[in-house]
Amino acid sequence: MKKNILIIIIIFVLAACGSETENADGQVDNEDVTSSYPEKNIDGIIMWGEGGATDIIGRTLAPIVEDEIGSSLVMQNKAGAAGAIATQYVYDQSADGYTLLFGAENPNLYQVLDISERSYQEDFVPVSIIANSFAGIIVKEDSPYENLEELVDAAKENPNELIFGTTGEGGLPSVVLAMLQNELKSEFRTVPYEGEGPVSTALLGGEVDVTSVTVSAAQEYVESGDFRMLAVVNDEPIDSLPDVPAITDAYPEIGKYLPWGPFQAVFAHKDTPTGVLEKLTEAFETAIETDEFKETLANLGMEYMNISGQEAIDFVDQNRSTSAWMLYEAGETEKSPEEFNIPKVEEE
Amino acid sequence: MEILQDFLVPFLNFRLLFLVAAGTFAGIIIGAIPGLSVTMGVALLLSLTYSWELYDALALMLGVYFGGVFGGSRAAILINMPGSPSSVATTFDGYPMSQKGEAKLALTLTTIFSFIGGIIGVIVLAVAAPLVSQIAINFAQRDYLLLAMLGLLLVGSLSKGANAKGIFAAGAGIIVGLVGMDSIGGGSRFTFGSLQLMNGVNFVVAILGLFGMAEILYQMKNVASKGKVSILKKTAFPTIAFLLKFLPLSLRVSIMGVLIGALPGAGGEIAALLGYDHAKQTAKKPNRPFGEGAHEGVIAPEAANNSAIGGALIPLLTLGIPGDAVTAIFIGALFIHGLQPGPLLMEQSGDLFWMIVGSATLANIFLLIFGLLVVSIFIRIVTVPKQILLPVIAVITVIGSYALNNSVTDVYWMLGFGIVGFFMKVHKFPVAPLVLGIILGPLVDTSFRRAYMGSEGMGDFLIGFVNSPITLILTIVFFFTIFSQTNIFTKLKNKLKKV
Amino acid sequence: MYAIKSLAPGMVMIIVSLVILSQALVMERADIFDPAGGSFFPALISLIMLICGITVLFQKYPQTEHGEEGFTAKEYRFILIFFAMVVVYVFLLSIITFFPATLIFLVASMFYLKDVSWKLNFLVSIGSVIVIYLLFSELFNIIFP
Repeated sequence: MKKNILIIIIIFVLAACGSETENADGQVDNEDVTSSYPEKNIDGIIMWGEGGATDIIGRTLAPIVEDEIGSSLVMQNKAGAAGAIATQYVYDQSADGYTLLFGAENPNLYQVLDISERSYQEDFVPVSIIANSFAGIIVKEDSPYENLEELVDAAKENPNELIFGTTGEGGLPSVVLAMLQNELKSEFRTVPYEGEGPVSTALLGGEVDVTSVTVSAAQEYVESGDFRMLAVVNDEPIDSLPDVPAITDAYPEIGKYLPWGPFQAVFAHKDTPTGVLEKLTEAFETAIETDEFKETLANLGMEYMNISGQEAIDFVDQNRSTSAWMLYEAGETEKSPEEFNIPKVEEE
Repeated sequence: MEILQDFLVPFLNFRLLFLVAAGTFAGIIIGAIPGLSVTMGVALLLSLTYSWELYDALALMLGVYFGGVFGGSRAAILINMPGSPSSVATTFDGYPMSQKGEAKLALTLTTIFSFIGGIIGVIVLAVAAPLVSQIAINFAQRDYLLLAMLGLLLVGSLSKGANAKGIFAAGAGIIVGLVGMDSIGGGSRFTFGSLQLMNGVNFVVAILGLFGMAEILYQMKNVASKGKVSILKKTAFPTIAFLLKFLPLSLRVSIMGVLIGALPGAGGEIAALLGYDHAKQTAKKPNRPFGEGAHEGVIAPEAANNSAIGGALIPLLTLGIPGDAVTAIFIGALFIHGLQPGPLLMEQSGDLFWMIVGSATLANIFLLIFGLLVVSIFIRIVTVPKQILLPVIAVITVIGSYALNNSVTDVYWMLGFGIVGFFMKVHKFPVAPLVLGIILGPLVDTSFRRAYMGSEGMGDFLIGFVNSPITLILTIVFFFTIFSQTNIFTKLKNKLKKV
Repeated sequence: MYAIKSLAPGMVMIIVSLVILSQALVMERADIFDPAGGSFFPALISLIMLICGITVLFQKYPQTEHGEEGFTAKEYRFILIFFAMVVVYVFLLSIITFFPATLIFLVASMFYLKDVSWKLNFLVSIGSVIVIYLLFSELFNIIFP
């Protein structure tokens, strides 16, 4: 018995030694990494739950990108903490271009809200900004509030009566809510959900009174008559829902924060080799350009953007400045945007 | 008439018929292998079938979905390793049956009642989808809370007499389930500052460790002491009369399964657990006590988790809301093929709805055929000598836990759970409550906090438990269950009997 | 000796619950007395666990029948060595890739468990390695470490 164990241990040790040397000269240089990329599956991490806009866009885009890049794109949802779980996860993976973050605008606020240390600016590099959209304020079809003024007045008269469903701190609804509370002095109670899908479900079930989601996520329900969109957070009505008034119609004072809205983008770890990043950007650019995907975007009510490089970085920066300062001025943030050198957007 | 035509499409089109059959068969295999999940299988097919016709892709994916959920029970019964979370409950009595030499009967029974559960799920989907989806979306946070708490009450029956240890294990499971970033408050919990723990503990990894690895180690004892060899009783195919005895139970748990499956926040694993609980409460004369190989104990969870598939398809097709991770992938498939899953889907593409109902029916029929045909192949696993079987299962457990996320850290987690599970078994700590806690803990946490945040203070929160019909019913069921598990009730019943 | 052994499970339970409770107390961004906060529920659970631990500590155990269920030191050693082999296997997996590591593990462990002829041992090992590889890697595109 003892002897047997000894033999086994020897086998294992020998095997381990043999491998050590193998590994040492198995090193490959950077150029090889780029030319052989991708040699395995690429993980696409979606920062929101199933059924939300980020999810739908990611899952529609994935197969087209797969054809372009010649490797499988395995999409996974890692929802929670306003996307910070997914953001942290992608940041923790090696910067080899095999883990991509499919995300929305939320990480722009992680630092000021003290949710996470991560930010798009310091930890990631955009592969592509796919599309942008607008936020809509929605209520259920049987809600007593026919327009935004009625809702805001009700929230002023009975503070903390109406429940506003959010998707966690720093999510789209929480910024819209900050806008309503800061500028219009209305007060709501908030209940957070895992994403736009779950919060829409909660609104359908009457668990929350009002919420704000991307126009695209609500469109189907608005068309079917289940939801009523009281306003779209923009300075003019949008093409996909021309009957919905712009928020500035009733409250022009919101105008100074606009244009502002959610966007959908793909990011990679900041230290991703340039060659790999170029390959990815190229693949996504071509994929987003296909008529097929454009049709999906149109179906979703999202606006085609497809920008990358410096243009994309500037776009994300501008969005961060608007959101962070708006929340800060509403007293919603834990820390001042100044601490993180987030520039304030000057009013034009 | 048109409906019937659409319904019969998959039956009459040879290609679709073949695809459903192939999908079901592949699903059974995928489901039976620990570490390969239905979600992985369907996700794989999504990218594989991208350029296919919509119907072809859906036929194959539906086959894998039904086959996969069913396949999970094979490994649960034969080697005490649930192939997927929804077959956790099947291990409670399935494995003891197999240990007593009744593996063949267990496999046959679960096949037949998975079929019945699956068919009932499809029937409800076909005739009552709009109604069920209304109930499902009106299910409030309090209701989820009560449902999860009802599930947690199972601890009592899973503890096998060691109540304090069982409750402790469930508590530990809940804490494990809560590890990671808090999705409501935003802070991190029990991560000890570790970034690895930020993403939480994958619960399939926990199951692979606590059931799979721990069981391998525990079985080693028999190898060491050259103890009992697995027995396999010769069993005749169960008679119709024998099967009919379980029909009422399977119908009840199937209806439960459809309803729970239809809830956007709960799926097959909770359906199976509550189905098991229901069987335990209502079975008058089980052939053996539950937990030692009761027939009802394998029938109920399997009927429930297969009927939950029909349930999960309901919110998907009526509202565009996924009922679980697999149906979320179906949403992607519909989008990719140019459809817009949402409240208008049924109106705009009614043919699609009936084609799905038809394919699902077909998948269940194939499930019954293949399930019964391959019993004799699966059964051989039991007769393989432990010296060969255990190392091979160990490899599958290791590779399976790695494959979930391509992460070696997950494998170490699995080993950790394995050794903990082994010592728990040795020291008579029941392992099942721990898994129960991991599955249900997060649901209790989020639903409790959301329900509380949605009400004004404690008083309002408590009143909420009695002022809506669904919640009131669940509250009553909850207290009745607690009451019936305590001694007072048994004493009362005995007294009444005497009178 | 017996007293210590019988008290051990209860003590372990109490220690574990206290660790959890302390972690819940120091949790950031969460108020322990706010039911909607992140630490209220875990703290509650840890208290329940603590009560269970104390109950077990003072519980009088019905003497479990030894013999059948008990583990001898020899059996423990046998099992733990096998577990160590699995750990080494996982360790090797990330160094010498799937094929050799799995093959070595299977052959070695079957040899360790005895009563398997060398021929059968190699046959089963090679067979399982190939089947597992085809299934996970070829079909599911899992990249082994």
